[in-house]
Amino acid sequence: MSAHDHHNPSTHHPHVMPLSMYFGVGFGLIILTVLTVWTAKFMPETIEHYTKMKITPTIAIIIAMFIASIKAALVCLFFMHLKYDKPLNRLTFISGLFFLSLFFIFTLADTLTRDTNPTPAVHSYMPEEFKTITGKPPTPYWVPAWVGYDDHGHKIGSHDGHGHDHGDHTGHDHDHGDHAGHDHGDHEGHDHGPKDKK
Amino acid sequence: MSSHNTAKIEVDKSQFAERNVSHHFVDADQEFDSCKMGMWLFLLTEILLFGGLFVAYVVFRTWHPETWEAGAEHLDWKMGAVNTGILIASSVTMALAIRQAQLNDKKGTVMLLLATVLLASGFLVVKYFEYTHKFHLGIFPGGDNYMFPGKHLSNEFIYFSIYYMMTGLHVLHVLFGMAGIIWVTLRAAKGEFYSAYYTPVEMVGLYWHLVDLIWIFLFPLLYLTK
Repeated sequence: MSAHDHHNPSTHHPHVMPLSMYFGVGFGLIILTVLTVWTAKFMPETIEHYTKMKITPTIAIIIAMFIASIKAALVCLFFMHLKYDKPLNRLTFISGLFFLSLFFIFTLADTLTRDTNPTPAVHSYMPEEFKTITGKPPTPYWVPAWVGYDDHGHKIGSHDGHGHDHGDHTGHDHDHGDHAGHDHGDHEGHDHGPKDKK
Repeated sequence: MSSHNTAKIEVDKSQFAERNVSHHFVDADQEFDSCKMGMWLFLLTEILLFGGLFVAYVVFRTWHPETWEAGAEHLDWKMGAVNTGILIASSVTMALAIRQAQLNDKKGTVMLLLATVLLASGFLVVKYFEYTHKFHLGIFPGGDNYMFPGKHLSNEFIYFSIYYMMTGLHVLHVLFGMAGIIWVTLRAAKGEFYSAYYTPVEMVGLYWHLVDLIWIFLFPLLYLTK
């Protein structure tokens, strides 16, 4: 291949590890997998049976991630040779974990501290059509999807009838909105309604 | 160390193609270490790529904990556990393949690499059954395509969008890893790797272990949340 290379033949001396290391780590990984399945699927029932204590999802995920971290460390240190490797490679890997933790910390600092049920900001000076949008209560996510569906996933009630109903409802809502904001844009609201429909 | 490394290595030329160090490297050790560092930098970007999905997982799970409980009901943890075992076994065969290359065992290297490919395809077969089962139930990624007819929560598609994105990206990595392993298998069969030069086997091995590493976290996060 590189016959005309003027450099020396490869003189790299590998760091060969004993067979027992490979089978030991593989066996350890299998044992930890069995352990993580047991702690997630069977341990909560056993603990509840004897002590009446419940394992909350938070505790469960901490246990699972702890075991997964040990497994990941085994793979990194032994199979990926980080234990015997150059410190720079170890540093590269650890810096990845560091930046990943920044990613987690700054994202969660936002998403975990948000007001989950914001009060809709409706002001008297807002245009009527905006009032009905922001004033609409948010649909709660915990509503089971089968409410209004039969067991085959079809909407209960005929499709045509529903469309007609919907049109009626929006018209009614619009009227209602006009009443609420009677000191402002009463006239405007009435003008807008028919225009939108045509 | 350096005096030890400059010692001439006798290569069995009937079995192996002797390889010289590339022009721009001082010696074989520098060549090997540079390759490895480049590979680790690439793996770092991979960790951050999957990191985005893990962050999305945590954000949506903390917002909708009940959705995760409901969604995990449609997953078979036994299939996930089997796949975990398969990937661990494939990691062991991959690591052993590198060891046999270090020991000038050409036949052993090829056989262990083939075993790794076989285990990887076993992983894909299990994943195929899992995916087709979900498609059959009407569980597709994305809100509009979530057509599961039974009783479920109205936002269950969030769980399955994240499930499909994470496992789908992981399956892509399994496929690329398999392609890499097949490539080094062919080269190993030609006798290109021996104790002084096995860099491509080592690099593909690192990639394959990363695939295992990601699955180690995906399995409890997706399958064991109930």
